[in-house]
Amino acid sequence: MSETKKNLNENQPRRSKSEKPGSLPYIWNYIKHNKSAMAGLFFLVGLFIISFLTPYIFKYNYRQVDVFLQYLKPCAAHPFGCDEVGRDLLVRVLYGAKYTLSIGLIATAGGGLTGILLGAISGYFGGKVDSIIMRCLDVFQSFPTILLAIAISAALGPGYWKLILACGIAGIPGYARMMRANTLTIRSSEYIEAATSINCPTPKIILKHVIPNAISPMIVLLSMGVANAALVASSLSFLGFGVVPPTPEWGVLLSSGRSYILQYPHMVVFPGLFIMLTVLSFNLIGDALRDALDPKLRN
Amino acid sequence: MIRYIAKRLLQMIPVLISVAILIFTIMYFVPGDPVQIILGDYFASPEQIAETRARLGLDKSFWEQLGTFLLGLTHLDFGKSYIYGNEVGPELLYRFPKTLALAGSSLVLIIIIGIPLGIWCALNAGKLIDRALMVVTLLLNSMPSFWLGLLLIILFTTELKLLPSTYTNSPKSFIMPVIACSASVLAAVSRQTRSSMLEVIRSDYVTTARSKGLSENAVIYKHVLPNALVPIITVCGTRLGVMIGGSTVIEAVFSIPGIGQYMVNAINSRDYPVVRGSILTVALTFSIIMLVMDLIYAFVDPRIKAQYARAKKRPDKA
Repeated sequence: MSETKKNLNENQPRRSKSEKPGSLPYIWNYIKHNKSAMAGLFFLVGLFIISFLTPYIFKYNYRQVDVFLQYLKPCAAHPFGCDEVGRDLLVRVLYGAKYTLSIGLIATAGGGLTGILLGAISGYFGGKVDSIIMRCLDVFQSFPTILLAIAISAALGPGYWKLILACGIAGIPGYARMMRANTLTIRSSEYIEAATSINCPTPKIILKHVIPNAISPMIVLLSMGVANAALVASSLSFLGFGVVPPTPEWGVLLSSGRSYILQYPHMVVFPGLFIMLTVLSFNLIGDALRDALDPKLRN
Repeated sequence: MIRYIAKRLLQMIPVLISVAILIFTIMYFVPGDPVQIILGDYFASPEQIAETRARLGLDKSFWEQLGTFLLGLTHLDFGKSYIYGNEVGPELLYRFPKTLALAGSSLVLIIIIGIPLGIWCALNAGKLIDRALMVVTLLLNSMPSFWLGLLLIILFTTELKLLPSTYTNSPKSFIMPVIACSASVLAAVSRQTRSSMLEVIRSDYVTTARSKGLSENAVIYKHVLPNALVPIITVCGTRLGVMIGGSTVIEAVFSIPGIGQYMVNAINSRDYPVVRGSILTVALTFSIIMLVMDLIYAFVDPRIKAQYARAKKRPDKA
């Protein structure tokens, strides 16, 4: 008896945590070796840190107005130039990174959590609950995300937290649908059946068994969702909903610079460049995550 | 198949009614009073305000207003604009072709250029030109469309003085908006086409087809491409929604008098009938496009077609 037990232990060498596919150390190990994802990660983290340290690094405040420096083209003292009231654009762009990054992350986190819960509940219970939730999501998904965000943002009014709420709500249907599909695949698994048979309370089943097992494909969707949320937030601010001037959010900078595009194009080039680099970094990280979690690459 | 289409069209009606109710409710809670915006703050007397309010029907309760709105919808009457006083329906009819031209041309451009580009990159995978194009598409994919539009204006209108930057009656004014609107989605579609094709090329049946002696063209266009199309159509479908939403922003950048701009201006001036009418139009268009996308799925993949037709043809059990 003890002999067979010993044999079993020898046949399965212990795997280190970073070799187990799908686990966090494995994912981090994978991303570490992906150059473009690491570049994106460095850019995002660096941008985030710098956006908080702008008062200590740069001479100019993001709100400091100097009418003699109006519309200044990029030069040594002001690498990005100045805007229409003489505020240094470099400091404004770097300070504004705070808004875009945080809006993207918080909106996706909130929308993602709600979507995951809704999708798990919908997929687990099935029947009437599923129908009702899906019909509601159909209504929300029957027009493009940006328009939904515009409508919600118009109803809530301008403001930082209201913009986050609008972007979050606009993203819920996508996450809920995917989570529901994942839940349906694992719904008939044996461990769920075992959990119900020992009288495990339903919320516990959903939280401890359904969600952790169905969440892998969601990670990629969430990372792409952050990029999308940042883009939607900038678009909304560009149109005038969401954050309003003088907050130095990138969409707001673009819309105020737009009036002077004919004579002073530098006011439009730099904020948009940073939007592109931020979205690019999130996309690169998302691509690397997708490759890391790809079931076909697991041996 | 026809039954499936009819069923889907019938299912669209309750969804659109729910959208109408949802938009009405959201707009009802928008802060700001349309009457104040129409009359201005300083010179309106309380009698004028009350009279305008009664004329526009804004003094009735929520349910009465909702009822009037839905009743008007049944005979396609969207009401009159609060600000301009003209009927919303004909105005939508006038503006819709412009938005359709913008979004439609973008879609055509994406399909004509994006998919062949992806196929070409897949066939030349690993070469320098493929890698360069992958970098370019990666950048374009992350570029906000309104920024690209502004950059195009700087380049072509300010520096080179080639193209008009606002809407004129000539088709030249559509070149930059269409490029700005479609660039991001075009990049995504060609990337997806390339990776989809590369995945399918490694399949066993492709090796079989090649070993049977089929010409490379036949292998690619008759075996690889149809099997690779399903994820591509999925990406097209999801990104199409983004593009239609993006056309709203592009209309704002290039001042094209389309539905998107109509809606945004109306939201800013609290012109509720216009907002309701335009959002309903967009929702209807979007739903029809999604239906067409599903039908294209069925057309491309015989397995999906069988699923849709299954309800009709059941084998008789002897």
